[in-house]
Amino acid sequence: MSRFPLFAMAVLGLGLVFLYVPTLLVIATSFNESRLAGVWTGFSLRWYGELLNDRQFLNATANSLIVAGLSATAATALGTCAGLVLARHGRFRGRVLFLGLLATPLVLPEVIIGLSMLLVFVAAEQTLGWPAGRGIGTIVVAHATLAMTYIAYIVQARLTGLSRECEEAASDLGASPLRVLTAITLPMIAPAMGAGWLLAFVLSLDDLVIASFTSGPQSTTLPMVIFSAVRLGVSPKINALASVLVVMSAVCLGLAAWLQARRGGKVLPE
Amino acid sequence: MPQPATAIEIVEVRKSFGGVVAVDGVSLAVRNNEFLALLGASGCGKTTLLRLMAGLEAVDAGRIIIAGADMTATPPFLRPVNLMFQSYALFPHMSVAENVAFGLKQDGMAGAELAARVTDALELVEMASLAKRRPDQLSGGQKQRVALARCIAKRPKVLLLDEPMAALDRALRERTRLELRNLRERLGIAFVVVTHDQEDAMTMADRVAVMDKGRVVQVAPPRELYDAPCSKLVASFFGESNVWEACVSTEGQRVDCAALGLSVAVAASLPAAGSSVAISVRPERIEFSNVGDNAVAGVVEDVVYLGTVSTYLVRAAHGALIRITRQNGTHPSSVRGDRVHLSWPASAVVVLTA
Repeated sequence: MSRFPLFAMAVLGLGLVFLYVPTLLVIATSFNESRLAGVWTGFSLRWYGELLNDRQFLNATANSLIVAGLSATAATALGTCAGLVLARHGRFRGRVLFLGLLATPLVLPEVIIGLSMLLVFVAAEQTLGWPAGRGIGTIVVAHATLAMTYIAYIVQARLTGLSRECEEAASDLGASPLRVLTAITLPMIAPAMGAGWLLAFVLSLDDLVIASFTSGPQSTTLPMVIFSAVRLGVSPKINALASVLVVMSAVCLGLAAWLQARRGGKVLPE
Repeated sequence: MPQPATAIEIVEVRKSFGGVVAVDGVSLAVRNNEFLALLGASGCGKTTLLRLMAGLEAVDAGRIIIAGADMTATPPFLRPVNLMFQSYALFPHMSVAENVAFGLKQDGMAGAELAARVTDALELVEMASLAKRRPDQLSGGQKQRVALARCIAKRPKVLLLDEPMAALDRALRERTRLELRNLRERLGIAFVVVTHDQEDAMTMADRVAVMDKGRVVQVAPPRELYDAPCSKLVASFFGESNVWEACVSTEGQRVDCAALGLSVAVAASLPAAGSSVAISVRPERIEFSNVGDNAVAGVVEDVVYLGTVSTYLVRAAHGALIRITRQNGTHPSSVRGDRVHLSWPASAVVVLTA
């Protein structure tokens, strides 16, 4: 008797096909020599070559990587602080409110987040004189704001799973609270922080809506280039561009999963 | 400067968690170079008391004086005591040597002095050969040794140990008990050990503090606790005992015990006639004989063979179940169903008024 009945396997297969075949098709057609998406004329790296000569693509890639790197770093710093407070500082006043506020970006539509960010930036420019116009900086702020929520939850979950005894032992051995944080707590949650950073990087890399609201004329990101190009018709070059984005995201997510799984089993209390 | 006589002194300390009282007005003094065991069932507040000494919990009321200085409000990292956790709490991202060095580095120690102190501590627990290992590559017994080395490397005034034997198997437990005693003699510092195991307490400690419901019931050397327990709880927690309710008789030096159907002769001093007390007789003080200060007849209900000794459960005529322990081979052994006579001297009866 089979452990996987035929029907269940069929459903699973159908689901996987529905989820991944479109993406795989994009990647496959990006290697198609022909200009027409429906006709396979041979394997070629022609479209990738064209991408490398495309200044707009190269600019957008650089923008995307800079935004993703900066926003992931800022989000990791802020999110780790929030996670530490939630997991290690007991029931302080306003904890529930803080949790609620932290979760809000997860449930708000991206369009609303983008629009409200835009309004804040415009108002700030008028009253404070900063930011002077929108560009890389404003996208970084917007993305960091969204991503820190995820990191706060990842860090909090990791800390809740870790016994406090190592931190208590360090304190008992003469380490001041700051030393306990830097020598014990942060090294123990480093894998979670690394995974969170990669997740934030991917969130930023893949975001179209918020970036569209908060970008300026010189700060087009990769998803924005793809989106505007598709409106003029799908060219094989766009397939190549999309494939680059998919591969970058997949690598980051794979790394994040590996980081979280690597020590997770060992640090949990027995 | 004269050395204060007590290593750590606790004065009327109280601690509760969300309305549940964990430590209820405990006063206790640990002398220099003393091995004190805090003994009690789980939930009696003994671990909380230890954490209060280390400063990991703040007291609600009372004072904690360590080596002559009031440290009630001192944070844990400034107290000259070290705590060995029941889980050992080794730092998973550091090697054995780094774990031991951690506490010394906090005092600003470095270089050759640091290396020498780490090696000393590891040699004391015979773990020097595994200095480069990570905690997840160690067995339970080895982890315990590293945790111990990490605490003693700091040369604290008081070493606090929370259930140090809980995770060890029986053979290792017995070895570790002796090693802890030897270590205390070599280091010359006070040890406070929390345990729920009366054998741990009896074999290691100079004095034992028996705790119940957040209070210290009795503090005494093991022999005194065994021979002269102050309450029913101590008598039954510390070793096996026969405990019966009784009433002080109007005749001198006697108590009336309904369960035994006997007016029991007592050597110890008694409260006023008519007061209710409990009496305790250790199983090994009772003999199979009909001559003695106190004698009853009964039927053997069960015999438990334990190698050097056997334990007999005898049902007395008036209903009490009497536990007797006799060395094997010293008398004709009784079997289940035998009618026997039991007797014990007046000096074997301990009178418990609480």
